[in-house]
Amino acid sequence: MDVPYLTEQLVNGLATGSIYAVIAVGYAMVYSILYLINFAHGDVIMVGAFAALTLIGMAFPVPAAILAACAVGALVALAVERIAYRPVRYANRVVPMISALGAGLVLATLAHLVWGPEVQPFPQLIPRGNIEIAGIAVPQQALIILGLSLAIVMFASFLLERTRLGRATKCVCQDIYAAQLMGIPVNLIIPLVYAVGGFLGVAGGILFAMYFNAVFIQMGLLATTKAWAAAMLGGVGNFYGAALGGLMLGVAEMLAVVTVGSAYKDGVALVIIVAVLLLRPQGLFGRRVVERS
Amino acid sequence: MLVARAGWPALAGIVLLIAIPLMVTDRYVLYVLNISMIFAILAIGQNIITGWCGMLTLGHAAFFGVGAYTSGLLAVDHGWPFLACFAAAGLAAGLAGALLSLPCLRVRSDFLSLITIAFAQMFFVVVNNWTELTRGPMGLPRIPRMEVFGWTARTEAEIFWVIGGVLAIVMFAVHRLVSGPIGRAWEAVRDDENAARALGINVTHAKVQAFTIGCVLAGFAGSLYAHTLRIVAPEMFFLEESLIIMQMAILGGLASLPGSLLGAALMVGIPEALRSGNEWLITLRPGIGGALLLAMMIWRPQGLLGRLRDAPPFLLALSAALRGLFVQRSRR
Repeated sequence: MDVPYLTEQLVNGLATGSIYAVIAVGYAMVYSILYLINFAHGDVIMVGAFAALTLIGMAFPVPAAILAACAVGALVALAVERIAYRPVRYANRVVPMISALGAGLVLATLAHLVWGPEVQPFPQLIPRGNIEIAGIAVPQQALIILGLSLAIVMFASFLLERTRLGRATKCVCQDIYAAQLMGIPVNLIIPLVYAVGGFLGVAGGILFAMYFNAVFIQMGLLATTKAWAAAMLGGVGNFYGAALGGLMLGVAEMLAVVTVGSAYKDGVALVIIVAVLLLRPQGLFGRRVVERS
Repeated sequence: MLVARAGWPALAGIVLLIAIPLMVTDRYVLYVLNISMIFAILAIGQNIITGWCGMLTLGHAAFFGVGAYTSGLLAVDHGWPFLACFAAAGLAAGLAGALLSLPCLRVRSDFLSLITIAFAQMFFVVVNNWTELTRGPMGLPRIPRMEVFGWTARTEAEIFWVIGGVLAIVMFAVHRLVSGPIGRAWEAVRDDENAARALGINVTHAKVQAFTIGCVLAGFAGSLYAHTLRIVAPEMFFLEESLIIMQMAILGGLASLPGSLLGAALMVGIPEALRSGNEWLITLRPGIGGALLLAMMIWRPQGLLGRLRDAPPFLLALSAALRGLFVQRSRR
């Protein structure tokens, strides 16, 4: 285990982690409002990634294709919100979770029907290869993905902190009823947050597809679990916590691959999360939240 | 004693249990009934966790697998008798459930649903890769038949009696549990956690208890499954199975024992009845299941046999029949 190998792996870990971060922030935004585990989030992302693949295959210019795919993700997220969540928003907590799961399964099956069960390669829009930094070869694609992901997270942070939508979202997070009384259109904000979550998620999903050169149906569940793990690690419902949690999860998985082999990397992530829960139940950067009933 | 406590419906159930294998001679029908009874035990376990205590678990198949592998390995590698394997399977699954749920449930029950997914994936990876112990993806063959005090269940009818006996005991025990203070504590936690806490219920304790009991049932079911099919393989306990178990619990009705029976019978029976190598059916099955979950949550969160005041008449009749068979008429 020499230094160049470790550096390369570290950059890879950071790149994967930054992708998790992008997927996790949209997820954390939804969670912080409704305290609902959005089981369909990953499947929305999967559909978006497939849409990007199709659009690029139809010879659309790449930036337009990616933007359109993100928009598809936002639309699907809106539809899921309208069909699966809104009718059960105020029911017992377990009810929306189950309907979310059902929506995810329906999306996965639809994708299966449209795009087939095979793992499909994703076009390499960012050249692979190594560049030398201080005499150490660093994978170029990983670096670019890291940069892009951080830019997306910063864009999301700008949305949340500096726009009217962001401030309204924060109000709804704090107290949904008080926000309603203050004239914030809650029934507009919640679908919008879902749409933004879907948009960002698909952006992360496309980076994921590019990095691993694969789009597949099970990607949805994978993305859901990773996003949730990242959000939980960083502190649930906390935007920046989710981003940092994603980065840390990526690095932790990389360490697991280096030390015990790639088959057990999900297991290592599980052990880390359980340990964090035992020692710091509110997550690494979270505040304590009282469980809503 | 069983009769004295649960009354005539229980007696009728026991008579039916003894009579069905004598009347039904088709081995395939009996086999399907056996499998649905095993899944009914699983669905009851899921129902304790999700229906009575309001927690979502998506790893029930993994605990099922823990039970099946514990039982199978002890029988094949160490020659333990069936009853010892059966007990060990319940114990192992319960222990795994308690250890997994304790850290999550101290915080929020939401964590549990994702941790159980992760656990299910982990279980699959470990069982698939730890070839020296589990024989890996090829599965663990030549598990001995079920044998109780020197009597071995050889025909499907005899297997029916063993599984049916376990199911009857499970239903009786769970019925006693959920109609007593423990079950009421679970329901209180499900309906309003803060109110439950204010009433002096130890919320964490109640949740871990419900989860552990659900997992113990999954372990028992796993042991029965292993000794019925006589082979276990990793992909028998994948995430899809967990989803199917949950669909059983929800379709029949959350917090309803007869509902779990009905859900298991439907979810095992319908695919078997339609089994004709239909490619599209296999493709569509998760989607249909998902749409089912969605529709049930929006229009009938109480399930087919849940609270029945506004149910269609044929369901009322069916439910009354099932209820009469299996559940003591309650104080209502």
